[in-house]
Amino acid sequence: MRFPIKVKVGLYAALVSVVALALMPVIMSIYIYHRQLMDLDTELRDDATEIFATLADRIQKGDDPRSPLVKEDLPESLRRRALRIWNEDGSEIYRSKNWADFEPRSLHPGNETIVIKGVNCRVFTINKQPFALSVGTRLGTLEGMQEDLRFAFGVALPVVALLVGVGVFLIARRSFRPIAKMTAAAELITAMRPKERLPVPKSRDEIERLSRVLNESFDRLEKAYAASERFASAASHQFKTPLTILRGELSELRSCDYLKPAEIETVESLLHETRRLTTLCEDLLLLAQVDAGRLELSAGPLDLIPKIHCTIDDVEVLGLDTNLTIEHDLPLELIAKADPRGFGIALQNLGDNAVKYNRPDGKIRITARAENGHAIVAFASTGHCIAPHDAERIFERFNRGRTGENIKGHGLGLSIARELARAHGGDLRLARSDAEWTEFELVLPLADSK
Amino acid sequence: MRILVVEDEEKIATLINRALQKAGHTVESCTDGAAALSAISSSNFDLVVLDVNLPVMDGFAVLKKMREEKNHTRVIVLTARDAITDRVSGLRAGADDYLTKPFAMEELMARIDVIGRRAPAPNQGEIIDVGDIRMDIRKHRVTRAGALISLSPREFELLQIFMQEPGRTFSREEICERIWEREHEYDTRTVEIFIMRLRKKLSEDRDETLIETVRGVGYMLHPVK
Repeated sequence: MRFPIKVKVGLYAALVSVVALALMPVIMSIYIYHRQLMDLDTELRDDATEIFATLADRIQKGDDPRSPLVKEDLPESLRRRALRIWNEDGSEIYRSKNWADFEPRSLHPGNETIVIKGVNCRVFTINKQPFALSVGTRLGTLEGMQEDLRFAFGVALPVVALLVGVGVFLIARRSFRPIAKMTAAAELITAMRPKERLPVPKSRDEIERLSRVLNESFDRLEKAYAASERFASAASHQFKTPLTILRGELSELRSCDYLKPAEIETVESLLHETRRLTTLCEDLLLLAQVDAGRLELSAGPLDLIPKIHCTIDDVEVLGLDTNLTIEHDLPLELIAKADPRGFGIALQNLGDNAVKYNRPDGKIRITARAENGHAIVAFASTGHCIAPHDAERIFERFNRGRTGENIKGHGLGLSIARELARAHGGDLRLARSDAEWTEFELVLPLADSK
Repeated sequence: MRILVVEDEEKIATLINRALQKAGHTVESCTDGAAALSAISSSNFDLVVLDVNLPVMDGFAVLKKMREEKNHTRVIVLTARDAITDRVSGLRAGADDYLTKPFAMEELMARIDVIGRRAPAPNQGEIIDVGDIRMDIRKHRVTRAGALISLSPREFELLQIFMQEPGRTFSREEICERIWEREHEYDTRTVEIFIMRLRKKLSEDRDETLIETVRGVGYMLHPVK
């Protein structure tokens, strides 16, 4: 599945903002919590110091510190706090009601967090002569704030992520618009329209530079195309003229009355070689046309079956020398979108190979079928297993694999058949190669498919 | 016939000239398009053999100019290129026939004979009769004296070539080119095998020879007397 860059950038930006937003409350809550705790501790200490001083006064005045504390004894701020006062010997002098459930134990002097009935409380303890006291309060407010903070960020997170994602997507789309234009323009630059160029935006940025650099490359490509085409047309004239002369003179020579049978045989063989050279020349031209993107096919609806029967006919005759058995399984009709000559060449190359790369008394199996909008013509032959690492190399030009070294031919058959198949919008592939069968599949689009 | 050969390659021109003279034609030749046009306008030719790749003015331009000037001399175009577009533009410009280089000289001679009406035009009908052999091209059926003969596709194509021009001798090479277009691995021997098979199927239980071997040249289907 393909994701456009603008979507990717939007998603990444949203992700980054989520991470950033998640980190922020963590840092903030830790900081705020400590800050508030420090303040609370100071308040508790002040309260404790104040009440300690009040009680110390009463003792000096001779009052019994155990007589119940009255409201007025306590500073305003202390009324909602928990308070506990005890003697040096541990006997309790006073305990406020809200500290009723506190298990009596002595606390360390200074600040401490303790749990009372599952609620976190903060306590400040003074332990001096002649008594000790603790002032405490619930941490609930502080914790509540923390929770509120987390909740607020939790709600904000998806909203902000969505906003950032969409915002960045829009910005990215805007910045990538020149690239989309460039892509559309580049698609138009084909071998058929080599003069088209990319629009160069006057944005003085990377995109302007990119389009300039690409246009320079297209200039060079156009020159290469032109050179390749010039080669193709020059070669067709330059090669074919001497070939025509060779052929003409050889056939004139052959029709002379004074030639001895052995000489006639030599001339016949030379004529055959001339024809081989002509075919090789045509093959090279065809490949040059493919390279220049100028291969002209006139593909239309074509019933492949009669052509395949012709190839079966050829293969039977060619296989007589090595006593090959030909099997075939073909439908009555298989109409593909194909160029008759191009398809014929591909078939002939596959048929020739099936004979050449076979073992004596071997077999050839030719089948055809329609599958997923494609016509598939398969040539299977026995012998000459192709090693997996050679599976792609056999399609290279002038490469005949290890098994092909002693076999007649110029090593263009498979590459030409593949180029022709691809020019049709199909392919040629090695479907299987093992000790039993080596099978090639020629794939062409069916006539009714797009 | 009086024939003008327009070809800038001297050796090819010589070859064509020799073959034409041997066949009893009068030949003149020139090497560029402009010279060809002036030769055509100053003198009457029965036929022009015109190469496409010419200096000064190419073959198609010459042909176009000729037709514009209402000159209807028959023209065979020789082209080195074999792209379909070339053929189409060649015939549209008013050529009577074309041949792709490199061509077999016998084929050029045969085409010239047809255009010059020295030989009958190839039989193009859907049903062709030669003697008691009848070929229905559309139905892909061959009968001899009414009896159906089952031929393989290549045997059928081979017989079709012979039946379209009975009495004409075809070299093995020309047959190869007509059937396979391209060089085939063991081509001339393959032709021999197909001829052998075709003869066997056609002359079953008879002593005659329908397809004759012309020594040193090729094969010919006997026309009906």
